[in-house]
Amino acid sequence: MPVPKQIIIPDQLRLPAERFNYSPGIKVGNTLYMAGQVGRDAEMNVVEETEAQFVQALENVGSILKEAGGGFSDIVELETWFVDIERDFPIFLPIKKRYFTGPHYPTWTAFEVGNLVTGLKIEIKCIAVLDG
Amino acid sequence: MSTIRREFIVPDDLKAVHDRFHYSPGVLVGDTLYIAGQLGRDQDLNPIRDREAQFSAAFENVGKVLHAAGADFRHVVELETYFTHFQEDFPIVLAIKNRYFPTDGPHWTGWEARKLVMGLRLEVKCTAVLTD
Repeated sequence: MPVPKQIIIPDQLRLPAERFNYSPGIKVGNTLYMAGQVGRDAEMNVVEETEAQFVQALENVGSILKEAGGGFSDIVELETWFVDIERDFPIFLPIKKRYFTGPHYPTWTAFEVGNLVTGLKIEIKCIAVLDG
Repeated sequence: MSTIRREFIVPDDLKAVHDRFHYSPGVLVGDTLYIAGQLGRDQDLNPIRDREAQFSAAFENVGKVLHAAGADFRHVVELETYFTHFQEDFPIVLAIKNRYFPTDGPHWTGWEARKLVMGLRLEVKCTAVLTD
């Protein structure tokens, strides 16, 4: 029996999805695979201020989760790709703690990459498993 | 509505990351074990400076998560290695990797990251499926 597959495109990520022809999320069975999210608003403008950019990236992740009927507590794997990990990790950590409130947490893998789209400081890539 | 079995794997030796950075070294969902990228740090999160010892410790930490979930290296299906000095360190990592995966190893993807935390040179990320 084929596993049901659902393409997840929240309104706030419709523009990049259409422009670059990709799916922000794909739910296969209970597993939700999400494209790496960055701190751009719905018009794809980069949010420049560091903390606000990190919040925007997490909000974009949240929009995919919500569209799929889930939330941050469903995330099982978190990856964060930094452009400057030494400078930005301490800024990101308390923001991340606001979104992942526990008592249980996903895995987390972090590293620094050479570059992202101009002005972006983080890319956040997650996998979630949704009940139901 | 079905609830998928979820187990958060926090081996004693890796408890410090859970408490300090709010993530789980492993998350077991159904038969799939997601493992956070592991680094060559001791249980007090001190980076291990000797290269070979550092790389071995990263694999040892993966093993701790596997064992705490009732699995071992034979269950790993996906291996990712992030190097900060790919050319220089690859031969050393290969030899160590082969000790943990002597035969029928997982699929493997490696690349060079610009930086890792604490000046570490290798991160090892695995996903396992707990088959019989």
